[in-house]
Amino acid sequence: MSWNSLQNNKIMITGIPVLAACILLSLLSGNDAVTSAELLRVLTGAGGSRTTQIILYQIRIPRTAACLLCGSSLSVAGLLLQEALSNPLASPGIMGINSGAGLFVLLSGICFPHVYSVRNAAAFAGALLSAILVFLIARKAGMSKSVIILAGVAVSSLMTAASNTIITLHPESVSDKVGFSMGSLAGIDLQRLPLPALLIFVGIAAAFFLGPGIELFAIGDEAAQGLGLAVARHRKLTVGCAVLLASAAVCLCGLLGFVGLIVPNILRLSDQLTVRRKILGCIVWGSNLVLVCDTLMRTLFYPYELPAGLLLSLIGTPFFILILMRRGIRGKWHD
Amino acid sequence: MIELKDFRAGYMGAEKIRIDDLKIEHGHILGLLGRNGSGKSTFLKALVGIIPHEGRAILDGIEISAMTHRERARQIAYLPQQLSTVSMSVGTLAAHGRFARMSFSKVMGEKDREAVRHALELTDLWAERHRSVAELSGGERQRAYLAMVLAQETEYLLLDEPAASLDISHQIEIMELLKQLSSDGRGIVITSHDLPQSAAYCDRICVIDRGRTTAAIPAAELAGKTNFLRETLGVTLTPAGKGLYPYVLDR
Repeated sequence: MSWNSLQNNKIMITGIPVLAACILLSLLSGNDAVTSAELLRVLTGAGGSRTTQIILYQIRIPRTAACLLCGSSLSVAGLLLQEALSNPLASPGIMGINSGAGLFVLLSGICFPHVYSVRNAAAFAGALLSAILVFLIARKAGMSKSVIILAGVAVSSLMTAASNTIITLHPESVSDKVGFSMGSLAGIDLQRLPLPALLIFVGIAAAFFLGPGIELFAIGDEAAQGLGLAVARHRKLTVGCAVLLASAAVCLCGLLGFVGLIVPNILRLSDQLTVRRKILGCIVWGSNLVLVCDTLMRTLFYPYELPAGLLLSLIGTPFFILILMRRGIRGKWHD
Repeated sequence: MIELKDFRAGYMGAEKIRIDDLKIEHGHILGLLGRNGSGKSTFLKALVGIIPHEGRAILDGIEISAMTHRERARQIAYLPQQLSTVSMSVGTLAAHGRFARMSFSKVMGEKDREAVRHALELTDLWAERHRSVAELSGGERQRAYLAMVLAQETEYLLLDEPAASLDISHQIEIMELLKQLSSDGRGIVITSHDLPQSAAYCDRICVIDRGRTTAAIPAAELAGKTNFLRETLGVTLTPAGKGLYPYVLDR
């Protein structure tokens, strides 16, 4: 293995053991009335009480799986948006894609309260609507990098306001109001996992195939087209893929922000990584970030449990400001 | 051969350029000259489908606009005038030239690696392949992008002012390289503002004047067309006697 490929693989070489540790920690820690040792016995097949088994299979494993799904889908979605728009501040949370999905999930909860699978379609429609609105506004206003973000903030505020109106008028539309608007992994049950999991799998596979074309966005649209890339179509597919991933995540964990901002930005610091490697890095480190935040927030303040999104916002906001300052200093805001 | 008949293109429905009849042949360098805004770049962009065209552009019997981007990119390479300063390595940039050649999985094979290596050697950048494009000088960056389109291994090269940002000695190197590529059978179209240089290296010259092209004139006959040059470009050519190029600019 050459030095270059070793450097390329560093992210995975460190990421996978950390992921294994995070998964184990997420499975074993919590505020239920069972000890970690007991859970470990069930996990290793060395027996254990019926209660412990139920806690593990009905609560802990679905929750850990949801952390993995949301972490990877949101960070891959962020990566796709950042690459497609050549903009480090683009992410499903900031661009209003999450809040659009959230609004439509609430609407579908009122219109079809008993059909859970409708929510995924509604989330996708809402996320897509937000993305289209952002682009229409940005196109009218000049399409610069800062304009896209501001349009995203505006659309996001609108969707959030509409969501809050619905939550106030129809409190029954969402079971955990704070958890939904902050983003939380609490109360995930096994039946809700398969459809979003399938959509996330499809989205990540699609992102993987779009990867080499996404790479060409950096050299400019005209040169990329000369190389044989249908640039406009490829960019739409990339954003569409991000919309699919983010909407599937919103169905599971509500409006979990900043995962899609933090993880891809750290991976994008390396110039040597191909988009496909960045996608793998996003899967591993996005999962790690959500697993750590979720585990911390449900154990630190025991017996209380706070939504994971709260901690992500606390880390994410300074991170957002940091990127803003770095970009501001370099003066690259108007290209 | 690429044959253009009644070829028209422009932005937002407004016709910017019109070419009645033009052939781009194997083994020839065609120089496009014209004042700023005359439509040289528009023509190249229309030929590679960045902007739509009307009329006919036939490549070996097939209308270019009927090809997919991928099919077209296997036959025609295009290098725009404005090149981005990217943070990838020179080798990676050149490897992007293989995009249309690689299969669905887009994994580089032995043939792809060989083509990239050959392109980097031709542009004298093999030793620099691990350096970041962002660190290169303007001339080196131009050559790195040229390596990218050479790695595309196309029959035709459309280059928008390939020598403009280079110092004189690198300009000559690039023009010599293009001459060599054309004598290997490739059809090359370049745009330029350098009339003596174009007259020295191109086989034929086509002048674009306010969106209308003149017939392609063999470069050797260009200097004799004094009135034509004065009307379209505002300058003429006069024999140099000795020096780098056979002609120098004159009024």
